[in-house]
Amino acid sequence: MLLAFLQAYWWAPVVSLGALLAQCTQPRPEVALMLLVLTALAWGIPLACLWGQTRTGLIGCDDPPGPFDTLAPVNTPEPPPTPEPHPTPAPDVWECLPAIRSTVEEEVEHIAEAVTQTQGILRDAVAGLHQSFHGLYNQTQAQHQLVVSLMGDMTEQSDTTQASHLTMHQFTEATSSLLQYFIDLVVNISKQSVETAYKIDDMVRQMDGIFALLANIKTITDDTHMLALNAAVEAARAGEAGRGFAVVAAEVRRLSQHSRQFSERLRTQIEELKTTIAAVRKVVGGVASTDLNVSLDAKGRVDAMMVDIKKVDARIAQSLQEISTVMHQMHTDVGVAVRALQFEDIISQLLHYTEKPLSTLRCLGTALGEAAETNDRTPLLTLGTTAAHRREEGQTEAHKPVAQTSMHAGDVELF
Amino acid sequence: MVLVTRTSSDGKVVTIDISGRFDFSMHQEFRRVYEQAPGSATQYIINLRQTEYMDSSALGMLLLLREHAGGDRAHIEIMHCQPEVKKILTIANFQHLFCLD
Repeated sequence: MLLAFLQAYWWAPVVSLGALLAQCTQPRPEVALMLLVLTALAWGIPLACLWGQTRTGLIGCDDPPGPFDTLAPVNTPEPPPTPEPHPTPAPDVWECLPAIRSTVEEEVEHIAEAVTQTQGILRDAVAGLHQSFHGLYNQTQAQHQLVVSLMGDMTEQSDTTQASHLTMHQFTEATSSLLQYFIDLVVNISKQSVETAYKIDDMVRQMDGIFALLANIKTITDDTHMLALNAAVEAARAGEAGRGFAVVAAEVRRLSQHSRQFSERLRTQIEELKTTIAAVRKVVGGVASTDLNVSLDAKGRVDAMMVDIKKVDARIAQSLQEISTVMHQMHTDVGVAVRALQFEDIISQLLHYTEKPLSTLRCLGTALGEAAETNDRTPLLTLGTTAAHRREEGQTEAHKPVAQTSMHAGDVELF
Repeated sequence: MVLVTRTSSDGKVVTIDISGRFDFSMHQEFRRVYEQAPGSATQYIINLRQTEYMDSSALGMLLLLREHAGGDRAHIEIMHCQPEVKKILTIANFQHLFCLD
């Protein structure tokens, strides 16, 4: 403490020592008086400062004494042997007064300007934030509704009666039923084709019956031929009397030859028909034989797709549920943010409150100026009294316009 | 033999074993089996243990056998199917028309 004191006010002992030396060298009464006053001041100022610091608890502060500190000797008791009628502050303090005044006024103006600027910026920024958060609030609400409607779509699925509403699930079901229809069609065609093949077999069997009949016709023709030959022989033996009979026998022979030719042609035709029918049966066999492995693969793929789509549907539904939760949280958070934006009012009021101290400081500047001009300390003393009075007022009543210290208090109804 | 037929002693149950490929080439033989079966036959058992492949004509033949055996009143069992053959029978919904094991 002593070290700090000496470090701050090293000039006090130096001035005292200088005064002692001057008195020793020039022992004149005017000079002695002046030196005495100087010494008193040199020790009085630091001591007063020390007293002031002890009271405010700022001991140990390394700041050099400010302009206000030099005012302190005004209230300190002067050394008794001063011959002057009333104590006057040191001339250097009085010289400082105009500078102090201008400094105070400038700083006050700076602070006032900064406060005004802050208020303006705060107002604009908060207005922007308000607009932005309200927009966000509305957007999240719209998004939430979208998600809810999507969820409704997902859960409705096949229950819906609207034809325009088609889900992946329905699409796959339609594909599956179409495939089933195709398979049924193929099986039915195969059945009918096989039936046709059976009919063709029956036809071929019946044609074999015709062949048997044709063989009978051939026998009859051969017999008729033999009969005609025998008749011709008998007619020749009868001589002139059998001449007419010989003509008949020749006709019968010719007829049997025609009949043989006819049955031969018929046989050939039926043989060709059999070949054609064999070809038809082959074609029918081709129609009947559809490799079902292709359909089997397709059905397998569609079934697998059905399973996958069910999984995807479930996942989408779950994700939508999660999104809905997130949206709800976001909605709440934005509401909190909008509520928090109320801080503007509080800050504005706090900033407005600075006007009073600033006006006091302005008064201080004016008083300092007056004191410097009139060389009178009365305005300063008046100011001191007013300030003390105001402090007392401040202690008795809640002088802050806003008592709130956090943003958690209160709630806001959003509109 | 690709197709073997056995008839039970009482003539009521006809068992048909089919081996190899059950396709259109078998249609005449298959038809002959059931057309030549005794009139007392009321039940048919198709054993497909040895059947490796089956196409749609086989399904058609089975349906015609079903019609021959009385349509909805027919009692036909298809047994011992290989997995691939069983899949084909299943996608054709034959489990509703026949007894599949």
